Amino acid sequence: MTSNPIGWVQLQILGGLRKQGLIVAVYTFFAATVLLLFYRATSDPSPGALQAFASTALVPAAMIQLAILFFGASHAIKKAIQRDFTTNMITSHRNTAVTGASAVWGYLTGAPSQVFLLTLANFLICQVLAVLGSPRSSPLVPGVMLIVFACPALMLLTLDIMVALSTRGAMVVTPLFVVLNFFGAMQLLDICPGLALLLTTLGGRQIMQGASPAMITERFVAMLAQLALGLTFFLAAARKFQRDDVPAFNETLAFCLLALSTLIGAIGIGLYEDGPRLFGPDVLASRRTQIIATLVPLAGVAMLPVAHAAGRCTEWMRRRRKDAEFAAKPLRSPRGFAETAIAATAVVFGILAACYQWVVADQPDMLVWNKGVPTVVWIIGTFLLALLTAGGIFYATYASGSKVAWAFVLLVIVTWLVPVVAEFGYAQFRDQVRAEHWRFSPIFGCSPVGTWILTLFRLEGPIIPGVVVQAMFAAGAGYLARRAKP
Amino acid sequence: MTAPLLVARHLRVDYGRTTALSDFNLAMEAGHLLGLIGPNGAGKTTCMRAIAGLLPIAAGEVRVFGDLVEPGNTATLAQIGFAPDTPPTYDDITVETFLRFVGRAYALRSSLVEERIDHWLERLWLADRRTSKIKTLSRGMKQRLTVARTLLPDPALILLDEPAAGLDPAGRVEFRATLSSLRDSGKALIVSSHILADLHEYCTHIAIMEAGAIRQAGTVAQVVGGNDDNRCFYHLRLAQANHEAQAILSGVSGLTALKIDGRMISFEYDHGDEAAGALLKTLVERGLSVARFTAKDNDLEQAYLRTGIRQVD
Repeated sequence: MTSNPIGWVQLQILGGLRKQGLIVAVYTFFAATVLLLFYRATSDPSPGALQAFASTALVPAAMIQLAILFFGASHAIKKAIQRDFTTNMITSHRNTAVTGASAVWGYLTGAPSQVFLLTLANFLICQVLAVLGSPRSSPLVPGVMLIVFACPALMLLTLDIMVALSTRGAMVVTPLFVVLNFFGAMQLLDICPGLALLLTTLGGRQIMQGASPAMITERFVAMLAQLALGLTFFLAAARKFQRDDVPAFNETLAFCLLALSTLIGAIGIGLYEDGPRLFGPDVLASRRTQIIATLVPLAGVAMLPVAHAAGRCTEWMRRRRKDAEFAAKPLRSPRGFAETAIAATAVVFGILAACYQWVVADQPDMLVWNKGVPTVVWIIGTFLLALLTAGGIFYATYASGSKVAWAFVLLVIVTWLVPVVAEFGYAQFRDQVRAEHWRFSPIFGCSPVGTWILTLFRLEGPIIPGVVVQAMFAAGAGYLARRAKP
Repeated sequence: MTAPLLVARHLRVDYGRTTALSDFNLAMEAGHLLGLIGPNGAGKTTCMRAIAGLLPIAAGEVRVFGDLVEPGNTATLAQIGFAPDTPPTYDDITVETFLRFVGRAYALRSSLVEERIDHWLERLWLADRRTSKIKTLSRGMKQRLTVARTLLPDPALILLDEPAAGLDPAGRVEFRATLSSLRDSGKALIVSSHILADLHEYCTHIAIMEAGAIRQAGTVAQVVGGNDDNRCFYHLRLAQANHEAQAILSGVSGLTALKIDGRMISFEYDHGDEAAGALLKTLVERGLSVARFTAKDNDLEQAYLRTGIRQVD
């Protein structure tokens, strides 16, 4: 914490170790006093009362610990990076011998140092409660929780640093993830098990209630996945630190993230165990829904290497146009966005094919022929068309010097959401939603998600017109890219 | 043969569709002190930030000791000290803590850091504010602290953007001496400033910039001398306003850059006592009541004005 220059200076800004120690002491004293007062007010002097109180108090104490860790650390990181941008200290850091990795480690350990010390104090309180509450609560609970939650914390905080460095300290994502976790984890577990694997609410519940060997395996896999993603975000943040125009993900990192995400998605589906559903109709928990719900975020992640390729190509073209010496060098042009889109599609479906046993083994009908073509071909083809469309749009956006994030949002809305929403709106208008033989219109298949739903669920509706429209989108985007002058 | 300390070749920097710097070429050796002058928006700051590796370059390259300056090349970046015009500091820590942080960022030994902190705080008149919080410092003090931060790691190339902007007159005198001593100790420095008299005193080279390009460059003597060493500026004050002054002066052969503001007149004419005496005689004979007549030796200010560059805001 103190050997890293940026970590050290963040600690000094917070008042140094002495002030931190004082804050922790005051917090511990305050928390112990509150617990004691609660105990006195709520418990009678009967035998076992202390044990019952301690095991009950352990739950809110653990919740407080998580809130401090996730919200506090995320806020501290955001504040530190925002301060560095507003004071222009980021320029000073970038002009020193500090490497990107060292800077990110500094933000990770120094900015939230106060939060980490409070988490540690709270952990000790939880440990005392767990021991007092034994055997109602296991004395191992606080320690296991600390280890289990350290992994998502690392993943989310490194993601926070990357996002904050990309937005000049304006944004972090941990609060969003925590809220999503609290309110959506149950549904996510059923719909998109890979994403649920990365979230931790059920991990905490399992710890409290005692975990089965299968659950332990799942948690262990989740921790490994979180650490791997954390490392990827760490490296991306280290790149982003170097200069505002340097993309966080280079080609290698973008493909690593895509491969990891695909693997996590496949493992999530493989580890999913059927059971009683808490929310929503059963169709949401079907393997087909899980595959579609996994493919949607994967397509989003696959756009990262495609966007990088588009950006690098425009940069290369721009440099050739403006720099005579560069143009004269016999350099190989960078990989184009179309080749990258093909490579990204190959990575996703290659990994899914390698994990065939986990993903589709018990649902062989998913791979049967559909309208004269195997279902999987429809899926791979439309996935590729979506990436090609994105690549063309990204290239044209980079060439015009506009923000590619807006192009991404617009693209998702127009080519993914609008056809689906229009279809359901139209059906609602015709009062056909609940009709027994509801036949989808050609509009639905214009969205890749629509095609995946039509083919995987073998629903009634035309597939080919929608795919033709998607191909026209890709061709149009390609035409825009060809006309664009970086 | 060792590589030159700094080489910038065909540098071009674009902000979107706007070109902020184009075809900028520069080579510097140890002991060179280059003064960058030009109106606001001329590209001085952009040029420094591009050399420091803080801006993306659309074309060209920058090399320090032969190594490319680019993001991630920390060993080369560590050779460059850059002090921006707005002092970047942490307000909530003390002056010495801030400088210790800089020492840590460059992985310097703590004893060396303390030694250098003592040296630079003394040299830049901040020794008595060593334990003060940075937020209590004035703008000028923060400016000096930024210079101390830049010099602490002992970089080979020093870039100072408007370093004297917040300094008081005494501070400027001291600062001039500091820059001269750095130049003499073998550092290469680039300083941008609007205080041309100061630059004239300590620079070895001058580059006049306009609209993202170098308009004129060379040693101080070359730039000050301009194309013709035998010309200089004259200032003239009339005893009373004369409507015919414009016509009279325009009729004098060899008189250029004429400016008339009421009774105050300035122009460029041949240099030397003989030429000045003859000119004064001619003006009096033609009916101008001259109250004051001064010939000003060539300096940087005149050289700059001679370029005809005007501030456009």
